[in-house]
Amino acid sequence: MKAALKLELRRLFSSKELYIALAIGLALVVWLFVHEIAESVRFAEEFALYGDKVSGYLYYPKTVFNSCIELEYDALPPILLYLLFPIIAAFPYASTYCKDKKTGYLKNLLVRIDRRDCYLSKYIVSFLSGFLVSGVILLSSLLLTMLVFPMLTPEAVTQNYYVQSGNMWGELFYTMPMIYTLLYILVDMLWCGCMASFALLLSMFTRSAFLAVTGSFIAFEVLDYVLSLFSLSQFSPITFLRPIQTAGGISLGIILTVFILFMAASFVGFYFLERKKDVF
Amino acid sequence: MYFKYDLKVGFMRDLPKLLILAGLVLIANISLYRNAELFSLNLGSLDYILYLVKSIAPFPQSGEEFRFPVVWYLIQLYLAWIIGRYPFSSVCESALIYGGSRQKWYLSKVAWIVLTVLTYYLVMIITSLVFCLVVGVPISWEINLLELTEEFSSVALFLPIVTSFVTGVFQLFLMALTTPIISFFLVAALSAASTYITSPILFTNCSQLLKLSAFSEVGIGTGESYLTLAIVFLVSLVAGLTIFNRRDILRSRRDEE
Repeated sequence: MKAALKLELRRLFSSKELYIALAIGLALVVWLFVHEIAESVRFAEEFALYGDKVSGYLYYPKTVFNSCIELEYDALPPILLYLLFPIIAAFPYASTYCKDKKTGYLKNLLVRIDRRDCYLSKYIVSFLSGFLVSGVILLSSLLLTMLVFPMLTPEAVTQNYYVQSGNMWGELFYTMPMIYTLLYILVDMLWCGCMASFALLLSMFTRSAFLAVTGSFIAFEVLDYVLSLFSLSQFSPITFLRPIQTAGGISLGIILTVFILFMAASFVGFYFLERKKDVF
Repeated sequence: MYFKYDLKVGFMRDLPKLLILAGLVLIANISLYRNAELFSLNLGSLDYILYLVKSIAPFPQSGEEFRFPVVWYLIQLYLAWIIGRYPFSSVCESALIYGGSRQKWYLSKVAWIVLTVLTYYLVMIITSLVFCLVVGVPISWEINLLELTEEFSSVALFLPIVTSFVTGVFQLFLMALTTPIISFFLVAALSAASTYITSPILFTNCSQLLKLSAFSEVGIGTGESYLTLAIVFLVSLVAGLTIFNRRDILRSRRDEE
């Protein structure tokens, strides 16, 4: 098991897909960072000219908790990142199983490694790839923002924050925002791991890397749309992935239930069913 | 030779996948029908078709809150997915050896994109019309769902189809330059960005009716849209042909694997 895991991890860290996914995510992080600084500078200039009556509002500075990619609510980079997370998470590793089947590498692997170890290590590394990529992107944004913006405790009355006190962990956000942000990053990392595992499940049905990686993205988008029609957006991973909680009714129970369902489906499908298929 | 092959392998085999599109259109139509009944809107069949490509008004100029246009996005995303999966797949690339001309191979893919886009929109239109007939929505060519501006002309209604075709050619160029997955990702990102930023540079704006001056005072002009699309098409075609002529297919396939 250890050898199989080591082999798959080495493949993950030597794949260019991992670094492309990270580069895309980090580009969005830097884009938002520059945008937020430009906004702050513009606001400071207006403040110098017009005083605290600028734009009709009392002066309230940009803080870490409305400038990092997790909690910024009206700029393009977070919208893009959270929309494209299923594909960014699946891109580094989920397609390797298709490629292994297509090239015959899987046959070589299975004569050397125990089947259970092989499939389990692929599943674990797939989850880890999504988990790591999202973690690096989200934590980079938080750390980068902390370099420049103050860590003021959010004040609901300023209307500068999207999270409502009635939302999941809403009270926590307005009392201990850093804990809230870190907890939500952990939720996002787990979910991105889950999305990468789901893409691995799809790779059972195809030999095309394109279909495996993009198929899960399309599936999550369609699911999001269908659930929104029935006013059940809180059950959609695309929706509850955003720490600003754009839909009401999101709870930890829902997030965990949907997470367990997706993980169980991908694990049962990939580990129990796919493992028994004849590849020779 | 190439186009015949694309027709048989790329097009005919993909036709069943359009059933998913029909399902998606049906769901969107049911949603609009429900809203029309709820708010007593008097809509005709053309409204049901335009609803699929209307998207949202320019943001933030329109003063409205940003609400992501899921219907429009899903429709464009699925088309990008259909276009992305075939041209550089092994089954398609293997035909290159038999034909012997890279240029003809590439141009055949452009022709395949035209056919795919036209069929795609035809399925959308037919599904909406059948839905209207079944639920008793009048078949009319009046537009009630969108407000027309003084700049409205019926030529603007063809922009979604033309834009989808140009986006397909652009995606083909990106596929020649990178890989199908990255090209799909870039088109998905471009489409998402164009819902937020209204500018002809993000040319997928031209397929969103509410972003056009024909339907919004602050939208992009119809002439401007066609001009942008013509430039993107020409640049993508020439650059795509040039890159594909120089592409080391064996190496790129090794990289893919």
